[in-house]
This record gives sequence, C-alpha cells and structure tokens, in this order.
Amino acid sequence: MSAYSSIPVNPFDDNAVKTPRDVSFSVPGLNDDTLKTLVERFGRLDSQRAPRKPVGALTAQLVTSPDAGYGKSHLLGRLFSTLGKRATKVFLRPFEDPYKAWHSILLLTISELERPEGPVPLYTPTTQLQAMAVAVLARLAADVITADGIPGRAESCDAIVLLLRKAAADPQPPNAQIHHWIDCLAKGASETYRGAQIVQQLRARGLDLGGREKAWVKVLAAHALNEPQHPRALAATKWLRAEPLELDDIALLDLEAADSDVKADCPAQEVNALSLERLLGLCLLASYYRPFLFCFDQTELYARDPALVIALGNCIERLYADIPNQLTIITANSVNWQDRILPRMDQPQIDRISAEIPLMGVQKDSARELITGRLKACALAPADVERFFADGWLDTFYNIQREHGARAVLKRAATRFQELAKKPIVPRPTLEELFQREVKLVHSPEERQSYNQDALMWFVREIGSGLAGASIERTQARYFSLQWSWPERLVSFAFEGGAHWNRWRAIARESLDISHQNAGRACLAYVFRTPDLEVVPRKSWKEAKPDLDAAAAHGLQIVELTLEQVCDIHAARQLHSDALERNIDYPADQTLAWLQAHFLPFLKELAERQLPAERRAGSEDHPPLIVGNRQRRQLPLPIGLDAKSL
Amino acid sequence: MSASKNSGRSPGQGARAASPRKPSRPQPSLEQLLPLIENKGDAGLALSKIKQQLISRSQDPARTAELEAKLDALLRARAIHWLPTQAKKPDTLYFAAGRGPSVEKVGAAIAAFAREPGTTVFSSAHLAKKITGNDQLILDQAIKHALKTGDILSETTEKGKTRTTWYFAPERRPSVGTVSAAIAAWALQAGTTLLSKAALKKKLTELEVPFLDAAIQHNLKAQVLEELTCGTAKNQDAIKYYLHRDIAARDFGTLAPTPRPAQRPKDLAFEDLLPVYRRLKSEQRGLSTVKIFDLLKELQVPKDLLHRVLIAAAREGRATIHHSTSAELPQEVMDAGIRLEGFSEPFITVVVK
Repeated sequence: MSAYSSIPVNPFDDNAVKTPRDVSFSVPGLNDDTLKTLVERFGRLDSQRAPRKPVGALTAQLVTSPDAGYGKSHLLGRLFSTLGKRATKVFLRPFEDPYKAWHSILLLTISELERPEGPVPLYTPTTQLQAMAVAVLARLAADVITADGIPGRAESCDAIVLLLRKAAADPQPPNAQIHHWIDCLAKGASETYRGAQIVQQLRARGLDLGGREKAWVKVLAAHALNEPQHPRALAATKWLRAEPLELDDIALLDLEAADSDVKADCPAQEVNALSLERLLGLCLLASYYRPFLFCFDQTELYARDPALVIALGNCIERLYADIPNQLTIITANSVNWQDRILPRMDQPQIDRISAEIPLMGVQKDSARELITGRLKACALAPADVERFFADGWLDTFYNIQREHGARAVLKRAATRFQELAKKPIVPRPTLEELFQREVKLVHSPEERQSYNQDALMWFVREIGSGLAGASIERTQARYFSLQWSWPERLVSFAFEGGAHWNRWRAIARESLDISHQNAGRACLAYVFRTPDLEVVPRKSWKEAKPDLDAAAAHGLQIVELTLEQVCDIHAARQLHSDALERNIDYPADQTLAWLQAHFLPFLKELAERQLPAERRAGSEDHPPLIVGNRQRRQLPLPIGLDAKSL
Repeated sequence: MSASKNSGRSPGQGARAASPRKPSRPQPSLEQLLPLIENKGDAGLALSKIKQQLISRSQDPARTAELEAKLDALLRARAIHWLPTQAKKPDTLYFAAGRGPSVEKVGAAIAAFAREPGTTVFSSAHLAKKITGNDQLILDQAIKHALKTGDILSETTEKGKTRTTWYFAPERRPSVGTVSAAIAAWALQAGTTLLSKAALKKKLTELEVPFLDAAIQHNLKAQVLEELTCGTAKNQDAIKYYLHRDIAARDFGTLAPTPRPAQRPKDLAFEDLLPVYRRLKSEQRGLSTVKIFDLLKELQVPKDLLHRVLIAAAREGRATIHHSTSAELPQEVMDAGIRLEGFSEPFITVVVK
C-alpha cells in the first residue's frame, strides 16, 4: 500500500476560500505586492495616533482577478490578518434590496462590531463594540477634562487624563475608575453645560454628528458599561441599527425624544437614510478608535439585477464623498465586472473606483512550495514528497504558461494525488452533498444562524422564482417589498427583524390594504422570524392588537423559522453564491434549479396555505397569527415547480 | 591648612556633618568580559561601554592595559571579532564569534533588493538607506561578496570629477526595455500629472539616461504613452509631455482609434497585437483582461494564427490566458477561445504582462 493511499482525504480538495475569516491555507508570496499596496493605502487612515481628525476616503480599491480561483477572498483574509487590531473589518455580502442598501451595510457593520476580536479559542469577553465604546468615551472624557478640569479636583486632572488615555489605548471592560468617568460623561451629556462641552470637544476634532452628539455618548456608554445582553445595551443596539425604540428603551438610555429619530412607520427610504447617518456616525467616531475596512465581495451577485448595480454605485460614491475613516475594497472577476457591472454604473460613480489592482497567479516555484507544504502536513516522508513531483507533471502543467490560479494548481495536484494513491476516481460531490457540507459549516458560527434580511430576501426572490406560473415582483410598499404573484393569488413578504408595536401595527395595516386592493385574488402576507429575535406579538401590545387580529383574518402570518430552516437558507444562499463565483463545478442555473426543487415542499406550503376565509364557516377559532412548523397543513391547491426553470 | 570657614563653631552647629565614606565597590572581574560581549548577541558591545562597565571611573592605566590585553587574547583565540563603528565619535564594536552582521546575509539582502519590484539601478548610497543598523558596518564587504557571487553586476560612470559605481541585477541591466518599463510605471503613478522629458531624465541614473530617447519612442510605438505638446519653445524636448494611455482613457475618455491595417497581415508577431491590446484595455477603463474574441475582431487575422501567438507568449511569460469567469458569455466569445488538451473549457481572455 503506497504512502498516498493511507491518507484518507485528498489534501488538495480544500481549494476554495468562502469568506476572509475562513482562510485555512496559504500560498507563500502570492500577491504580496497587492497586499502591501492595500496595507499602505490603509496606513494613511491611522498614520496619526487617536484621537485624530477624520481622514477623507480614497477611491474604492478595485481588486480584480482574471478568472475565478485567483485568491480574492484569500487576499482579503490575509489583509484582515495583517491589519489585525488596526481596523474594524466588515465583510459585505451583496445586499438584496436596492432601496435599503445602507440598512444592509449598517446591519452587517453592527453584526461585525458585536463579534469579539479575532478567533475565539480564548474567551474574549469584550466585543469590538464595547472596545470601541470604551476607547471613544475614555478619550472624549480625557478631552473634556483637559479642556475644562474637574471641579474640586484640579490637582489630579493630569493623572485622571493619563489613566483615561491609557484605558483607551487598550480597551478592556472598564475597571471601577474608568467606569466612573465614563458614567460621569454619559450623565454629563444630559446637562446643559457639560453637554455643550462634549459637543464642543467633538467639533474641535472635526466631528459633526448632526446634533446627535449626546445621544451617541449615551448609546456608547450603554455598551461600555454593561454586558452585551443587558437591557440597556440591547436598547443601545436597537438605536445603532436604526430601529424604532419603545418608550422603555428611551427611558433606559435617558435619550431625549428627538434622539429617538426612527419612527415606527417610516418608509424604506427613510430607514435607509437614517442607516447612512448611523454609519457616518460610527465612522466619524472611529477618529477616537480605529478606522473601518469595508470589503465588497461576491460582486457577481449584483449583476443579477440592474437596480442592485445602481445601488452599489451609489454606495461607492457616498462612501468616497461623505464617509471618512474608512477604506473600501471591491473584489471582482474582471470580465464580470467589465461586462455586467460597469456598463450599468454612472460615470461619477465609476470615477470613485480606483484603477484595477490585478491579482497574480502562482508561479512554478510557489506552486511547488504550496504542494510540498500540504504533503508535509500529511506527515509524508521526504522521499514520498519527492515522488509526488516525479514524471515532470508540474513542468508539463507550467509548460502552458508561467502562472496559474491557485485553485487550478490545487485541482491539478488533487488529480496527481488521485493517480498516486491509486484510489478509484471519486466522482465530484453531488449538489446534495455540497449543500449538506454548507449546512454543517453554517451550524458552527453563531452569527450565521441569526436573522439576516438579505438572506431571506434572496430566498423569497431566487428560490421562489422556481414556482410554476409565479411572477416575482419587487413592490413600492413600505414593508411588503417582495411578492409572488399569480392571476388568482398573491403572496407578499415583509422583512422585519424589530419588535416595535407601532411598526407591527403599520405592517398589519399594510397587509390589510394589500388584501383590500386585491379583492379578486387570494392574498397571503408573510413575515419571517428567526429564533434569535424577540417573540412577536407581545401580550402588552394592546393598541396594535385589533389591527393584528384583523390582518390575521385577512392572511397575515408570522412564520417562525426553526434553526434548521435558518441554517438551510443560509447554506442555500452560500451554495448559490459559490456557483455564481465558480467555486464549485456546477453552473449557477443548475445549482439554483436544484435548490428550488429542494425547497419546493416549503415553497408550496407557503404559497398554498389556506386562507382564513376558506376555513369552515361557523368555526369559533381565530386564525393563528403565528405559524410554526408544527402548524403547517397540506392544502388542496397544487402549485407545481416551473419545469422550464429546471 | 587654611582656616575653615566654620571655625569657631562646634561640629554639628551649622556645619553639615560629614557623611561616612562609602566603601568602594570591588572592580568587576575581567573574566566577565566574554560573557558581557556574548550577551549582546548580534547588537555587539562598544569598547566605550566595555570600559564603562569593567573599568568604570578608574583611571588606573594598569587596569586599562589589563583590559586591552584581555581583548587581544580573545581576538587571537577568535572568541570575538570587531568592527569599527561609523558613529560621530569613533568606537569599536565587539561581537562574540558567530554573531554580528554576516557578509552572506547582507549580501543576500542586497541581491533581494536588486530584484524588488521597481528596483532597476542603484548605488551604494541607495543601499545605505536600505541596509540599516550594524549591517551597514560591512556594507562594502557585502557588496563585494554579491558581485563575486554574480548576484549583482556593476558599472561605473564618470560625470566631471565624480565617479559613481552603479549596481543592478543581471536581468535588469539597463536597456531600452528596462528604461521603458520604468518610464511607463512612473507615468502610471503620476496619474494626470504630465511628465516632461527633463522630469523623466531626472529620475534616471546616469547609466540609464543613454536609453531615454529610445525608451520613450518604444513606449510611444507600443501605445503605452501618449505624447502631448504644449508651449512654443524652439527646443522640441522642452514642449513635449507624456501621459500614460490608461490614465488618459480613464480620466479623459477614449483616445483616437488605432488605424486598422489595410490588408489582413499574413503573419503576426506579438508586438503587432500590443497596440490593439492596449487600445482595447484603455476602452475598458484600464482593465487588463481582454477577450480573445475582441482581439480577433480588431486584428482581423485567422483564429489559429492569433492562438499560436498567444500560446507562445504565454509560454514565454509575456502574457497569461484564462478560462471563462462567472459571467455568461455569448457563444461567439467562447468559440474564439483557445482549446488546449487537458482543459475542458476554452481560454477566452488574455492579460499581457
């Protein structure tokens, strides 16, 4: 039995990097120049020590590869690792709603800030948000004390300022002293004089937070001084996410009424605009901490919809023009970018994108090093490692050209391994196997199981397009932004992760309006909820109850997804994205068709659910608003899969 | 003995009581000399510091002689070695055997610098900025070592009374090619700032200046640079400025199309397709991945001919060819691609290096 056949798994099968944090292999020296360029360009943002004046943005850095498998995500991973604690790194998967692009970016940013720093075999109690809050407030407090002193403690001001600046340099959960001064600052924000001092210090640093300076101080203090699950911290997160606040939340945070600027029933454009304001605030306050790095990846997915491309262009333009203390990176496959994205962007937006920074392939020496590294990791003897390169197969491979994409090298090495191990040729994994692999990957990181409106929108739009006879439409409604439409039936979807009674009342009223406007059709209206969200509706929602009950009677249903369903949806989206990016050996349309068939029972259940009016007459039962897994029933109206899309 | 100023006062009244004399510290043994030097590792220990630690304030000539004898003995036994420092105040650095700057290591660093992207020709002054710390002490020896091993070559120029020795990697010997590449890189870096010939000349070393005119012409012919004229001076060189074509295309729109050949060429060299490649690249805002289909359409040559040229260029490292990406492409684009044995998909794009 050869040494190779004793190795159970082909060491070259792992050839794709999905997200920057998943980098599990390295190619020595690959694209070092590109990495150096990006690190240098980031360096202008933190060349001064914090607190610093806001640094204007560069054009968005466009990193291109001539083909899939040249290491775009791998490069981002190396960049993340190189920058380490110098940056808050936000990996931006494509948004699905062009009217709420900033909301999507803000939610991903907050999600990143809620993670601890770095990988967690060591438990790190501090989230990045808490660290940022401590650093910002400690430095701001130091500024205020330096300018204005402390009544009755003039002699110890310098020592206190030193202590605060030291705490800001290495933010940890604050000790008693730091806790005290941050608390004083937050309380001072409510006072006229001290509040004015705070605003003055922020303005002196060039930070204009649009009149929300005191609100920002209180919100950040809620995170700095409390555990992440504390009610004050949760309320603060809602404010940061541009969600409407309940009266209890406003009281907990001691905000003024004007600072609770997100109305429960505001339209998508307003939510989007407020999300941009929040993001701007975070980036301005990064002057006291560390800059942001925004990475737009998987850009092939934007090409599916011209509206998404236009929205992407708008975001790039605004990031350049208005948002300081950040570096934006866009990764793209060259042909896709030039054929399908650029033609749909306006010239001013294109002008905000840098010249391409091309990725290079792997040369023969580096390929040899990469392959040798993987073989040594399998504890192969040096003689066996040398045998791997016998027969000159690598020379033949590089006879075509002097560099190849990293994935092409690994695939060729995988074939060579197969030959030496003399194992039967393993057929490529089926889509089912690939899907199950993704499901397992999703189960590990906690954040992938959480509510993600883009994932749900993708599901409704892309998977739903497989339903026979259905037209998938984007609407102008405030909440029910996507619809499945048949001549005789209409199924509307809203995407709401919040739990404010007034918003849910507005959602209920909108679903009633839709139902009345489509009187001749059977109308269903769904809102998906995931296990990490608060349960709605609450028993205390007395004002909203009549509307919710009326809407339930006319087809509104809250669909409580199980954890397995959430993981399946995330896994499906990732698999589709892999197919679009050519990370798997299946074309995108075939992958999508498979996913549509896989989810067909669920799709049919959603589409064919019995309307309340179709229940038996005289039934005393009120139609349930919340539908969980256990309440689903098989219904009489069959709606098949669209054979053409298969 | 002069009268004390405090005479008439009893001790303790107004006069400070004399503090008891502290016993003098024993002199450190000279046997500590070698461990002291070894402890400093590659940083070395200066003679002034040695004296400070082992002799301290003692001005005893015998002690100093003893120290010097000890140093000599260690040098003869090859337990230590020394280098003169280049500080303002001359001193001597001592290192334990096997420690301190290594000629081989510094030589390798020089060889690596010679091959760094952007490095063409450099002098010892450039190296002095690159090689820092104690490694600078053996810079000259390291340069000689690198020359001896062939990692770098040298040529000397004379300008007036000044002689300068220039160094370069063998594959980067100044030539029209290297100077052209350097000019193109500077033009790209300069963005929309126009570069005059004088400005370009200032950036070149004396070794490279002779190639300037030819390099500019080469870049103009390959349509890498665009030449613009501004001014009325009689000296033509003074009124010509250069702009990178990619910058011109990106910032000022597409340039005038390259005139198409009247007849289909019977043969095709790699250099023939470069102007077309660059124009297509500038039309797509500087993105370097160009479709083979587009090249074919512009060149109007048989497909096999273009494929042969591209395959040869790929083998030589002058270009790379790539499969289809995630974009769905028309059949005609796929059909124009290169099909090679062992690859299920055609190579449909090219990037020229």
